[in-house]
Amino acid sequence: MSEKGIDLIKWLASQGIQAQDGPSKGIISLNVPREQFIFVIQSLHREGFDYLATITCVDLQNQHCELIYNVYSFDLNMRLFVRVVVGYEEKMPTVLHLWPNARFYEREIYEMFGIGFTGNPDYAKPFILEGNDPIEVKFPMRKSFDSIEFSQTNYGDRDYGSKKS
Amino acid sequence: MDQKRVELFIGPNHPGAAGNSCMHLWMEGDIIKHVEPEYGYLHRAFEKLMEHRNLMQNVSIIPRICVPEPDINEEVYARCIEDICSIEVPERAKYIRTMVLELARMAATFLNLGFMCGGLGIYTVMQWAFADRDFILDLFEWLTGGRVYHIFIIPGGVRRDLPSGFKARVEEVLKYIEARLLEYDRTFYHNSFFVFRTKGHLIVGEEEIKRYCLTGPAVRAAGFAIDMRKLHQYEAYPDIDFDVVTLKDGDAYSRMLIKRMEIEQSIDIIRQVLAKMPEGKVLNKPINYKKWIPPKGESYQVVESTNGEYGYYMRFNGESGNPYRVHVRGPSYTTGTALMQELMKDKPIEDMPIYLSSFGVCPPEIDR
Amino acid sequence: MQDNCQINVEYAKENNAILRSFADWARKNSIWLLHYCTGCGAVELPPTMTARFDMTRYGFAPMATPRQADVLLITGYLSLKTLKRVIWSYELMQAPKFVIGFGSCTMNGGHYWDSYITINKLSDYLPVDIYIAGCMPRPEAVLSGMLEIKKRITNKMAGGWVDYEKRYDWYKENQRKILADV
Repeated sequence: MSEKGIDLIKWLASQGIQAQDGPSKGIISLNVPREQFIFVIQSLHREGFDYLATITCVDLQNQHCELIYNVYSFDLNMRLFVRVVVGYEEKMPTVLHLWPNARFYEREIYEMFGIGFTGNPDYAKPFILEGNDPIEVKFPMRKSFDSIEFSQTNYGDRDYGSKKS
Repeated sequence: MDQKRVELFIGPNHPGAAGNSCMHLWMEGDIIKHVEPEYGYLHRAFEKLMEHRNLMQNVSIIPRICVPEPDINEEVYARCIEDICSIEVPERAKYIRTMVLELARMAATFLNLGFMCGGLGIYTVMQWAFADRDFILDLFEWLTGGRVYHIFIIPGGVRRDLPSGFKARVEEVLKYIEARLLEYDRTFYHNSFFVFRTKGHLIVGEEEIKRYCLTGPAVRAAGFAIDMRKLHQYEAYPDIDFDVVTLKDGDAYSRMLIKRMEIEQSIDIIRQVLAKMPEGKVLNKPINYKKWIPPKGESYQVVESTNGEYGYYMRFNGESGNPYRVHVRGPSYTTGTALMQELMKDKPIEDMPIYLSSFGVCPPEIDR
Repeated sequence: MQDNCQINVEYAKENNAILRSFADWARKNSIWLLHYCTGCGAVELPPTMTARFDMTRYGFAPMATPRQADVLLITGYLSLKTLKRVIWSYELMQAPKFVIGFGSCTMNGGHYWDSYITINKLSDYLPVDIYIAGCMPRPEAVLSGMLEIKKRITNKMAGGWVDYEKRYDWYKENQRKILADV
């Protein structure tokens, strides 16, 4: 890691954000509480981390989800994971003003996991699922949604007489 | 909305559109004023399916995520698992993987060229492109057993060694393609109709690259030498000698020209790989695949596909052999959505198939 | 749509056998496919249509609109959104019309049998005349499936559209269980 990268990590630690090594080599994770998220992400954007690869959402099964913002800097050749834990009913601030792509990333996260975003006017518009069919598919990527049972009930049982399943 | 605007649809069933996606256009006369892309026709819920299958069962469904170029999925999946479980890949397997990736890059470029010609109406070159792509698919069939979906790269190495006589046949195919490229130049790349339709159209500059987070040929056509093979030195690329190809203009013509120049670069890389390949075994099989429970961990790995950065995020929770979460990030997620809304404002409708083919918008990657 | 089919079947019964055989001969030698690439099996369709495995020598040609097509080719899996549009396209086509199911996803769900968005059995929603097995089928398999359809037209065994007209209510009930606006 370069000098400038080490300075950045020290400055963030002074603001109360601890960094940890991982997951893979060359990636550093920052655990950020929801209230400080906008401040951290705007500072990183100013310091050269202006490439947002994607926003990943992981369901933690205790009424909370973890959002991972995957940012990268070409000058320092360094990748950062900015992690925020947010509850099902809470709303996250949007990053639409920094990256216009986030409009579609946030739409997909709402459709699959149910997390709203303040500041993004069309986060609730359906993106992939059509949403007006008689059988309802609501927030399918949560762990509480059982897709095997859904498919066998609605689209026909695939057990053609085999005794194992 | 304005009274004189007309709403039109391109797709989902359209000979000129890529894949199966619908573009809602609002037009005044011939000029597009607003585009709203609609996806979801190819949605299969891969990320949910992968949580029900264990590590090795997933290998058979992941090639279907990116239909033109399936090998990049297997490569990144295998690298994620090797990173989490700390498995060493033999040297010979790294060289074979590099050769497979470069052959897949050439086949996908020919497919893209065929669809671009189909959209423009130059049907001769479309027939040539699909016929020449079949030579590469025959090579894949000899090596792996399948023409389109290979299931050849698995965590730990590759499945089997090269058959005898394979290297000679690869050299024959590469010589044939090199000779054919001159014909393509005369008929297509110097064709005044193609140049008129694409030169100076849909220019992407530095500001759009930074705001919309682009990678791939679009960035190299604008003058920036950014290539994931150089930034994240993976597989056998540290030992291979190649330069990053760049041009200056940033328009649709330069993007197609970059893809054509990368075919020559791929031929050169494959020749170096075949010359430098070491001997040895090709698979480090760790333990019984059915009872394999990886340790708790995460990983994010990246590869350079024909259209840009392609990445997988994986997480295991240490209790079962199924992944806890897999997230796929394709390059079309940026070019097919927000960039289209910005770049196609105030452009004539005939620029739409040129946009879809020169950026390589692939709807299966967006829908998953 | 029901009335249209009724008239066609009665016309075919009334006229004499020579005229009907001539019509079948003309039909089987110039089959036009609706070029609707619904799933991942569609990537083996361009090699079948172009110079190497050339299907135009048998009289097949791709066509852009449903009104001008004879055969609807379902290449692979169908998500709910696409199934709605396919049903609309099928009902726009004019009789006699045939459906070919490509790949194992149309037979029993294939790889995606436990997905919440893809259907498992196509013959519950549309009448299928021929299945082509494979995942995905090779171009040679596609050509042999198309030759089989030609044989069935000659032997007067390709009657999927007549079955749709006879059991219209059963098909509609299955479709309306999972889709709106059909």
